[in-house]
Amino acid sequence: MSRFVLRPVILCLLGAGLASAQGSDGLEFKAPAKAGEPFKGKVLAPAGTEWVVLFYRLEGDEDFNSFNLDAQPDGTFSGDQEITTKPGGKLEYYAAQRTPGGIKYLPKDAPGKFAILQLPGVEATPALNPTVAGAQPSGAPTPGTSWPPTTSVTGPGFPGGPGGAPGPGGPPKPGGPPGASGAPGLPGQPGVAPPQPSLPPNGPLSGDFALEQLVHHMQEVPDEQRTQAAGQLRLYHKTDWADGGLLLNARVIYTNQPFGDQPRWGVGDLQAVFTRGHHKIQVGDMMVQESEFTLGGAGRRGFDYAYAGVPANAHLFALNTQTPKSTQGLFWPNSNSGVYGGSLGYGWFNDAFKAKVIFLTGKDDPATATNVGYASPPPVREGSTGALLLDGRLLDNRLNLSGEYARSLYTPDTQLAQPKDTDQAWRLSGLWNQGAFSAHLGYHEVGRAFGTVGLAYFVGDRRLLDGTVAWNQPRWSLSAVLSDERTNPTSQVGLSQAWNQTLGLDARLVLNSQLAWRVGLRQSRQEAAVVADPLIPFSNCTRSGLVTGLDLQLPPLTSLSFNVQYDRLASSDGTGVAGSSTTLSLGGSTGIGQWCRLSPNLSWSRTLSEPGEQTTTVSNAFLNAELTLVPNRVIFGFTGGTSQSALPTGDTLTTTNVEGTLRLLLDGWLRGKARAGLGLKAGYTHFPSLSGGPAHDNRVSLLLNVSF
Amino acid sequence: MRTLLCAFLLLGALALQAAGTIIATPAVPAKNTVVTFTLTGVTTGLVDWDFGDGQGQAGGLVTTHAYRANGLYPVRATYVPLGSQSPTSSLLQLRVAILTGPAAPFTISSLRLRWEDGRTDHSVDRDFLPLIAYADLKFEGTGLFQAQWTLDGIPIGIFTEQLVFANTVVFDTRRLIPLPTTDPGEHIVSLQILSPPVTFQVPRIRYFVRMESQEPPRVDSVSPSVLMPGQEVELRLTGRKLAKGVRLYFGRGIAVVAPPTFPEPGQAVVRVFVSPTARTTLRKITAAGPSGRSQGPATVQVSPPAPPPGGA
Repeated sequence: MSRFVLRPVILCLLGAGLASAQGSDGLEFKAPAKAGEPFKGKVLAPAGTEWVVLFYRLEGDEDFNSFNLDAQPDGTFSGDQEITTKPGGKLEYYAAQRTPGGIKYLPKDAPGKFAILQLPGVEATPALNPTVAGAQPSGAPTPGTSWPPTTSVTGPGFPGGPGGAPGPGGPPKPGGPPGASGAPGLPGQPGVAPPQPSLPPNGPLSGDFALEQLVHHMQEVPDEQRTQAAGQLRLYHKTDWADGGLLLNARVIYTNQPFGDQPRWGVGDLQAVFTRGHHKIQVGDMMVQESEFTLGGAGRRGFDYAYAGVPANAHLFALNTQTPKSTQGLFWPNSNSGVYGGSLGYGWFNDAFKAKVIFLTGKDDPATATNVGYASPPPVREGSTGALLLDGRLLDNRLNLSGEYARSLYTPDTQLAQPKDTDQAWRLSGLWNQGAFSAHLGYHEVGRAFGTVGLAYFVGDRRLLDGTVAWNQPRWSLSAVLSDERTNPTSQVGLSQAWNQTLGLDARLVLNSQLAWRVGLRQSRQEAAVVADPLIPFSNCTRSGLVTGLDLQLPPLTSLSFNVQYDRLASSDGTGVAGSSTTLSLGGSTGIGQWCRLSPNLSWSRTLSEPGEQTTTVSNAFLNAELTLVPNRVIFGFTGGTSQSALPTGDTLTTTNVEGTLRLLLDGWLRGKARAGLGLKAGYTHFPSLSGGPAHDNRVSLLLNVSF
Repeated sequence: MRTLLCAFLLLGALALQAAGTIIATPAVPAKNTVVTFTLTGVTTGLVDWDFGDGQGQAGGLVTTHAYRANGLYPVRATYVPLGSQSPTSSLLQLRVAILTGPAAPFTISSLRLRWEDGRTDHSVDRDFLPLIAYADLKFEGTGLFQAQWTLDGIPIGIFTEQLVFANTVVFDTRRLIPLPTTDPGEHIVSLQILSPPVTFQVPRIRYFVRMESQEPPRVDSVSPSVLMPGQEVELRLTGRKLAKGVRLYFGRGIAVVAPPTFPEPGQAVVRVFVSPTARTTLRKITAAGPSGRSQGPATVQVSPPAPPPGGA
């Protein structure tokens, strides 16, 4: 049972007379006449009012709860709210409303002063069951015990923990009035969350297995593996306490068809997170982000400690630079691919101004990464990087200024017999936000020898000036982007210099509640000061692009997106080399009731290379569909696609691949202990044959899927 | 005399034109990249190609080849023009180079496929939306990139992009339909690059669709994330399983004042009002749906208006 239900609270609804408060400004708040009924709020709002929210708290509490009032035909706004409170107490309340003249409060001097609702009755002994007055549970506080302020007024669903976050909640009221904690009763947004467990329903251990047995293959392959097996076991444990928690999560995966030299058994996720107060320690897989010139990216593994205090904060890390295999580098990174460091931060004026210093050092061998393809073997990098980060919010958060200065001692290739080089990188940016308008201006300058092992990909020797202005309105949005980029900004002798300027315009117009139109234009030019070879296409070029499309939303099940894109690159060095492409796509999803869902995607693309007028056309069609034949029992699934390529040589290659699966769900027989399904899958493939002419293949498999 | 000279030049030009021209695409390829040779300006049947690196091929007007080392290669096409009895040759001096930066040939240096968390395998519930795969790509030069995402070997859709000025770029499957999660079991996602040609094996990533539904909706990011009391603001959220039916909570003192909209799976737009009595704290955003609820990792900070520097 919810700990909130166990709280020693008593309803104030003990048959006492109706308590009500009529504010002088048209705000009315009434306690219910009898037990089990909600409180009622009502506001006489001016015409054109968009919304009204009523905030309330038990006198002495720190936080206000809220619920939304709905517009009524008579021009008023009203709403109900179940509130569990003490008899004889007082409720402080006020309302906020969005009127044509702006946000107004009731009473007019709120939030400096609140309206008061005197609750009927006298304070009684707290009861276990709030609907049964006077029944005192064992261990319940005695009269006069001070109750936690944040729990003496509770909504039915999300009583709210620290910071107003919802807790496990009391019993939901389906379709009932909105709950507290900013959970208004809006369409599609009922205020009470169902008491769903956030832990896996079958406890901390869960598993999934999939087995496919090939029973027929038209084109038999010698030594073909006819059984495909895959699965995973997951251990998940989460414990929360007042000022922290512990999370343990591990997922072991298995496949009998691994890629390349990867093992059959692997570790999908592995993490342990311990939090207490402002302290957080985690080991295993994580994502980290320090700054643009130091450390960032996903797929990290190792050790991490963070102190998220105010105004000071700190961070220490020892992480792998690449995603390691299996359980390698779980607690501490591999010496050949590890980055070690930390940061210290401090904030002033309620964190309006912040400063942070970061330092890291390490070595990165990209060859240790799983699942990366390289055109040539990547070198091993090594070095140290330090950075100072400044950030400030000014003018009521409308202006955000940030800057970073970083310096590194670094080599991009440890096998080169040359010492590490030192260089710098810095950036400045400003962002202005005012209502629907925003503007950004930024400048980056990265030295040729600057580098960091904390970022997997880093492009140096650059200077970039970029700016954006944007207007975002509910019915339309417009944005413009300008950038000017240059390599070799310090004009070092022997290195090529190049410039690139881009102008982009994007607009989106909401035609109605279901249809929106997008359009974007790009115009760019690129110039190389020292052309390495005049025959390299597009080192000097002009570029243009147009993209437009429509987004259609037909609730509840249909969404479609149509896109047309045209790009053209033309060499500007007199060689006449040019290339263009036109791409069309139409995709989305739709459903017919609860028994049919379709997700189609059609795309077509044509590229033209000049001179020579070489044209390549690629088109494909894809469909994913699910048809419920017997609800909760029999499902038919379909995945298929066809792709056709017309090459400059005149050849046309067509590939078709379709799969249909008839699946029998066994859930009903497993009585909720697990979910399972038996399936019969048939596949057909049509592909171009190397010996000329098309080839066909088909296969039939039996499937078994189990999840618990 | 002038007439004779003109006639001589004209005949010479015609003779030169009859020799045909070899066009290489790309004009300056990198080693191990496929270069396409096209013989133009001549009508002939069989062409004997000599790639200048000791290898040759008998074929048509168009052929392809990849060089294993840098250097200058004389590419020669030998053929018998239509109506002629004697063979003719055309020559192209081809430079194969290692170049990086904006003035380099258009090539893909590296490609990493991953899921959002950086891993190469992923587990999702049946009917999870949206499932998105990512491709981190580093390239040299400037050119038109064309590729198609594939699911279990089946192309889902094509996309093109101008890749300019030797940089890094991240692609994802959002521009197509979300990856299907209706079929339980293991699935493999890859990116088939159509242009430019790549010389390495393109990686693959896998995902496993569970029959059981466990994961609650989740909010990963919010913009803006700093709110002030008394402010009405439209929040743009991204996360997992954000779709119709999901409810969002921001803690006490922050009220949702308009129904949230879900422009596409994994995105939500919600208008909230921060009450003037809202406590200035950091709050994890809670998302609740049929499969449960989750708090965070996205947070909003309610901050008082910043006082002017030097102020009290």
